[in-house]
Amino acid sequence: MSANVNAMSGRKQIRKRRWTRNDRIGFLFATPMLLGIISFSIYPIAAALFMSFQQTNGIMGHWVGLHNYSIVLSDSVFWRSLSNTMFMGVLSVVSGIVVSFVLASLINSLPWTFGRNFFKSVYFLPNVVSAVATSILFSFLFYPGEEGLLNFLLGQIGLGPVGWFTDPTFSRFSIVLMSMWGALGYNTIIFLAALQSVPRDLYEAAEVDGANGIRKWRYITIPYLRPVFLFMVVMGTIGGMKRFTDVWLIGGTAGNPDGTLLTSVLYIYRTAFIGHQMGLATAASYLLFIVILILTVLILRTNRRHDID
Amino acid sequence: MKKSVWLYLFMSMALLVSACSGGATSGGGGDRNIEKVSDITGTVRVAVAGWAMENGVDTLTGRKTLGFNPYVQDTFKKMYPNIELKVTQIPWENAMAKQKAMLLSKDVDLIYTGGAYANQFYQQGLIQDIDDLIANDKSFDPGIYLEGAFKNSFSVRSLDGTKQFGIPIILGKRMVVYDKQMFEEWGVEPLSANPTPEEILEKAKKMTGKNPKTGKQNYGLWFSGNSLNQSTFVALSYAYNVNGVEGSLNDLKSLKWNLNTPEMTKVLDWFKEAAPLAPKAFINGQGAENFGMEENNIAIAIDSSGGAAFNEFRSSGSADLIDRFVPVLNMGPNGEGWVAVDPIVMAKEVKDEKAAWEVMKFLTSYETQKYFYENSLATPTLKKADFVDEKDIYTAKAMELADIARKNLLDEANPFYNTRMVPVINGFISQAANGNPTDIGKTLSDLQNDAEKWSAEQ
Repeated sequence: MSANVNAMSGRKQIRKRRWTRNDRIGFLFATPMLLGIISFSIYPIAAALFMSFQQTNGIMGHWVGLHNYSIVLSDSVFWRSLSNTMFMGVLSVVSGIVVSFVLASLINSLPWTFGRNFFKSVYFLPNVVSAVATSILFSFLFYPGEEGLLNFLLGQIGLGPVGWFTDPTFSRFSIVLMSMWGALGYNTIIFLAALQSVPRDLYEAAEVDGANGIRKWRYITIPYLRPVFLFMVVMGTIGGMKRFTDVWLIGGTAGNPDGTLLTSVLYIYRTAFIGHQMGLATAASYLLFIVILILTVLILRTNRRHDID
Repeated sequence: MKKSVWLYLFMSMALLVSACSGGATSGGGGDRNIEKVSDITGTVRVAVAGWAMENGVDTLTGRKTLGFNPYVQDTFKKMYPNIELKVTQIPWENAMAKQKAMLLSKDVDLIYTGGAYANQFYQQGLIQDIDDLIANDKSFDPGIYLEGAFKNSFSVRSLDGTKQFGIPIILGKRMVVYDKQMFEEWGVEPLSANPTPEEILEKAKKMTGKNPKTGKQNYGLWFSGNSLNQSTFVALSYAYNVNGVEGSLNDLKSLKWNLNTPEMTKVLDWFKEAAPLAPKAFINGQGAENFGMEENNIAIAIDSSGGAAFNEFRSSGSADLIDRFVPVLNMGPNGEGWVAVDPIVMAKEVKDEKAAWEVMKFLTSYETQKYFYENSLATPTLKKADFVDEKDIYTAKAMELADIARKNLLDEANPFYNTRMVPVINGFISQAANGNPTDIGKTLSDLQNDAEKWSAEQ
């Protein structure tokens, strides 16, 4: 009995301790931020979910249950947009990570601090250029005629002009190249920071065992950086699935050429803001959210399995 | 010593800058004797998209421009001294969402916006019709506006055509423009005043290839392959008498679609033949960067504004390019094409209706349209716009086109057309340009099925 009483008073004390004066002050300071999150994140998320069950133009509407989801799921254009998004997303993530990791390793291996800083700045520069400016720049670099810079260079080695953004065969690869140019700096900086955190004594021990540079890179650097790779894959996947500005600026609402640049967010945009069918657009948004969630969980699970192995 | 050198340099630069930016601004009240019109009181909140609010310089011509705020001070404030005008500038980028938010939060009385947006706002019950205001105001004369812009546009009239909700203030310029010099170089007869799609195609084919005089690559044709509303399609739909949809856009469920028809086949056939005649970049809306300039390599541009040629005249005074780039009517049987109409509209829940109506009249008046033309070359919506430069053949032609404009249910006001049909047409054009046109019969059959399914789901 007395043990029970002691336990209860202990719990009360814990409960009391949970709400100290400091806690209250802390919450007071956090209130503006919490209100902001509730108003500008949680409320819109909930309102969009509600809207996805309505046939509405954003002002007036009526409840239609799962009808919008059924329309979107049976719409071949939505699936095509999702397929384009995933194609460009996977290519962007893989190529972006590989190239930036190799670059970061090369920069990290430079013996001069000045050289490292110089290349860091050079590769980071495109990251401060907006997606709009990048798209305009590349629309001229990748100009389909002989006047385009890249086609001019190809012409010098006897290759014909390529329709970088105008030929359905090349358009998605060109977008990936463009986005890789923009994101390379950020990825490289992250990898560089991670590379500098690898303990030196691991490399020294490997050297004692006679490992060369490539083997050290393969058996120390890459395994040590696995959490960073995971972070890059997850963030890259989420970013890739939300691709919009560049494809919209280059391919228009049709995702020209031949719909190859039509991404899921472009599909949502044109349904919401050109067709004014907010119910359908929000349903498509939630479906895209589910796809991103599934992909992220799959990536994390795969990584956990590797951890166990 | 050092200080005086810097001061000297600064003064020289200031003198140089002021000398280079000569030329007076135009369009304001200036010294003119503007009389008071009314003592009416009130506060009117106006949201505008894309207007220059302060004095500046036209980057294309280097001319000084008068901002909207100084213009209002010179004119409106003298005419209506007791009305307080609060103007909010909104960039065109995502203007619809921002203006809609202002209407929903009742933070605005009048809006200058795009025609398609205005129509949507009206359908959503966010703006009001102005028929009573017009009927009760003897001083307002709707007859001063071009018929096509005032009566035959979904940008200012309800979808059933019975209600007026906006007054047109600025028109878009979309006409067929051809390069006379290039026609001469190729020995091709100039375009007729009202060319048919076949005439355009036939002449464009003759001028695609190496120019016999200059040896440079020429393209017979240009039109936008990723146009948001595919205005070239609209012009062709007039030309081939396409009756793609019947019914009312107020009732999307009962629309009757006729998209798999011989007339629609003719339109896609035209695109199939026209696409290879344009520079490849047209697929993404590029390729006409030099049209209207000395280095031009395109013979005929559809839905062109002729802006580059006239800007050259405004900046250098040389009329050579105006003589070279000739505007003609669009491809409809009477020259019709798609005409962009930007209106002023009034919020449903307006704070002070009488004052707002006076402001609405002022903003769409002859004086204000003159101000916009002189400072930003905006095409007026007036029947009698005597302030248009006599050399400005492009604005004159755009006004001629607006006067004969008529409604079309296959237009940006139609959500199926905008979201489903335009992407299919643009996709077809891009495939045709790449030499792999999709089967027209299948494209139209799929479009018809999609339209019927879409209507059933509404």
